[in-house]
Amino acid sequence: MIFNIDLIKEAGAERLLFNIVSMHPHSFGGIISVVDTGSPRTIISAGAASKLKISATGEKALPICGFGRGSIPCRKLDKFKFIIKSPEGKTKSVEMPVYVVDVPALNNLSQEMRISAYQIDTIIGLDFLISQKMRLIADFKNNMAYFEEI
Amino acid sequence: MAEQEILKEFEILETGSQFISSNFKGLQKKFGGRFIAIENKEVVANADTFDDIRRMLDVQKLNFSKIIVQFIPREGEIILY
Repeated sequence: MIFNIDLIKEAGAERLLFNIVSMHPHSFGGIISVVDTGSPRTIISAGAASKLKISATGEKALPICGFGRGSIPCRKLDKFKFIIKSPEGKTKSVEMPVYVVDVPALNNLSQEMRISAYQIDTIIGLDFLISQKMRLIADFKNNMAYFEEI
Repeated sequence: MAEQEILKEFEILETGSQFISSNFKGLQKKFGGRFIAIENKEVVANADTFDDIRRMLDVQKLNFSKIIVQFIPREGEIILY
């Protein structure tokens, strides 16, 4: 089964956008994420966590994890459930550990840090490829990108 | 959660992400450096901060959870994570 990825092809702004739907308890809703093979981990952004009320309170408190400008507080969610969809409309349920930006902790930081943190998208990292046994195909010339189950 | 609701959610996402990818240059020209809120292929709000977008959607009585909010980098600005 394959799972389509949208491409942004503008020079200097090339990006792979992947849609997921959160099935986390009390946090149902869609998230547009960025596929980032430079990131070892999948990270739920401040915007998505805030919008869908994905709370990591009570989960493992982590030291500040560094990404973006400066460091942003986050926590690990051992089991984050979400759905991905094939072009034919078939859905696949995924459960994997992710990192979630700790919005309450973020709100205690400076305005500058908050603005910067909210600019960062949800990131699909290498852990998604590894844990879900997927390969990533990105063919910008033919305007085509997708994940494929191995 | 019913399959239909999940598929509806994907439809909203796909419309939004395709709108962003197809119109990125224009969005960048108009809204570079700002957050935008997209509903049905239309930018319904834009603001400097995520909190301001939320407030604007509240004022417009739009369902925040069904709206796509995205930060648009400025032209020439490369965002690295």
